[in-house]
Amino acid sequence: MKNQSKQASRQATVSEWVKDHGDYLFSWAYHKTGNREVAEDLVQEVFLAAVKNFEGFQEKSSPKTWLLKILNHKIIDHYRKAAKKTLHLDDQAFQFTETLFNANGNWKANGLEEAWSNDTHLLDDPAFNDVMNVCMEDLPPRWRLAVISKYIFDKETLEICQELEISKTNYWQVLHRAKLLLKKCLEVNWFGAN
Amino acid sequence: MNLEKIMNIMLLSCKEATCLIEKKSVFPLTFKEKCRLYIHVKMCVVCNLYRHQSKTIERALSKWINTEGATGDLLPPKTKERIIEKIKED
Repeated sequence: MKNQSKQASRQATVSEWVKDHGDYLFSWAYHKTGNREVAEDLVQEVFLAAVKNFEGFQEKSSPKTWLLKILNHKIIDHYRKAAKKTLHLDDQAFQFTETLFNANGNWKANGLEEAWSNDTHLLDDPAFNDVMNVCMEDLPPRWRLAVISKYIFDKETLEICQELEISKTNYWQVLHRAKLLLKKCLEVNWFGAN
Repeated sequence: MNLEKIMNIMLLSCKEATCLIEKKSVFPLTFKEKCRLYIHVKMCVVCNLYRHQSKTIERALSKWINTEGATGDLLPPKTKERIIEKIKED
């Protein structure tokens, strides 16, 4: 009986959290995945996991912080699954970044190099962040995973390599290619357009 | 032999140089890599600019990651009810 009431009180607490933090978590997940359905599913998983692993919640961190941590792991899992299914996209994106260089491996000039120098207030511009959204969506899932894990968790590089199931060499090459693609995307959609 | 070809034999290409710039952000470079990158960036305006652009992208990424979505991206009430139902079933 005691266990049952314990379970009921957990369920009641987590149900309250759905009301209090559901919108925040959804908004976070939607921003990271760009897909409403996926975001809704991830948020549901977070709350169900919260009931299951209630012991893991320590009163010293706020429920919001704790739930966000679970959500971030779910987001990474989501990308990891997506990355396995979309290896062909890596090849396509790799070929595309090759076209930024000539046969000797040097830059093909595009005339936009200088446009970047005037970027002091760039990050305060909401329109720029919209472009950033588009460019993040353009990254193949495995590249996005590499970039996101680095910033979302502040993880040791080695750990990230293990998560991505790639060697160290491959990891910074993925970062390099992801940066090149982001650079090109920002030049086309922001610096070239303004 | 043109200058670009000579540079390619002696030094890094821009593709290699920018890759080293990214490597440097996660792993220490070897002495040889450091020297070759230093010389390349001294001579190559575009790669020197790339270094700056790469940092700008890092800051943009960090901001992007730490942004919640636009206000108005709310979890639909029906989904909230569904989740609460599921919690009770568990």
